Amino acid sequence: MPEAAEDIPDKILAPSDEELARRAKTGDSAALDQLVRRHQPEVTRLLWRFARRPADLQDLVQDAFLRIVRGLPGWRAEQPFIHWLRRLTVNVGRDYCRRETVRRRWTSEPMADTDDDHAFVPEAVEPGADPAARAAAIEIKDFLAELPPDDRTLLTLHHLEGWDFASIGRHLGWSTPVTKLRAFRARRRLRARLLSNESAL
Amino acid sequence: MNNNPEQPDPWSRLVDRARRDEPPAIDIDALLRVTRAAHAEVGHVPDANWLADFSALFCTPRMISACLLLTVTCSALSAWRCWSLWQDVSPWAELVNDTLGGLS
Repeated sequence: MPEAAEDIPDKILAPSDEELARRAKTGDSAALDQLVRRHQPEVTRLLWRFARRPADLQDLVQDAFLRIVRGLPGWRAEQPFIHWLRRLTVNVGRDYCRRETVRRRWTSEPMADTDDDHAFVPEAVEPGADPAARAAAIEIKDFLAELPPDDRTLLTLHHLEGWDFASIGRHLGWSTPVTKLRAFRARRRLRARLLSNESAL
Repeated sequence: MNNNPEQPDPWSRLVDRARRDEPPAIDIDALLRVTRAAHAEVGHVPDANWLADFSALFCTPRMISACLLLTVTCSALSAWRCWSLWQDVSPWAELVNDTLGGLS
């Protein structure tokens, strides 16, 4: 994407993430504010792929940045800051999936005797700037929510964020072949879920 | 879930639409308040270099005492090993010395 000429000098003059993180590590709160402001849009977008409610999103973003602040003393300058930040953010998303799975199990058990035991009570969600996109995202999140947490994390990153398997593996601590195998199994489960959903309709 | 861009299946169309979904706005002021509070709580480390890391690791009183104790133990062990080795070698050294007529 071509950049406006007046934006370029600011970007050149702006301190790098590593420089800001080094300063934040030594107690510079202005540097930390700058880091938070700079990366908040990306962290929010990534976590929105996992979150199902705006209130959850606020909590998740705060959780991610709290982990970043608390992890700063252990961050090494040799490691690119953005990779470290994404890894922490993905872990926040994965933990959310785990909590959601437990919550779903506990809340859906009393409904197991009903005809449609996969029924999930839809919650009011703001339509967003693009209601069709929001509806599609909710539909996909509903399908993915029925998968185990790791599968859900993997397919969320692959389908909704468009990450390749090598990147996903790097962020989740898996090798690329293992990630591909997990993705194959996860997609098979998802396909079975989609087919059963189609046949139920 | 086919990857054929010519004729995307319903799932691919759904995914394409879902990717355009923008997150709702979050309260940045609240986020900054929370991160500042957490930042004030965590211990800050001085600007890192290898010397700072090294001194942070080894300049504690306990570590210095442990190093001193280790040095004394190593020295005592080495002295004892040298002395016992000399006990084994000294008869041979005397023999060589006697053979050469005390020239060595």
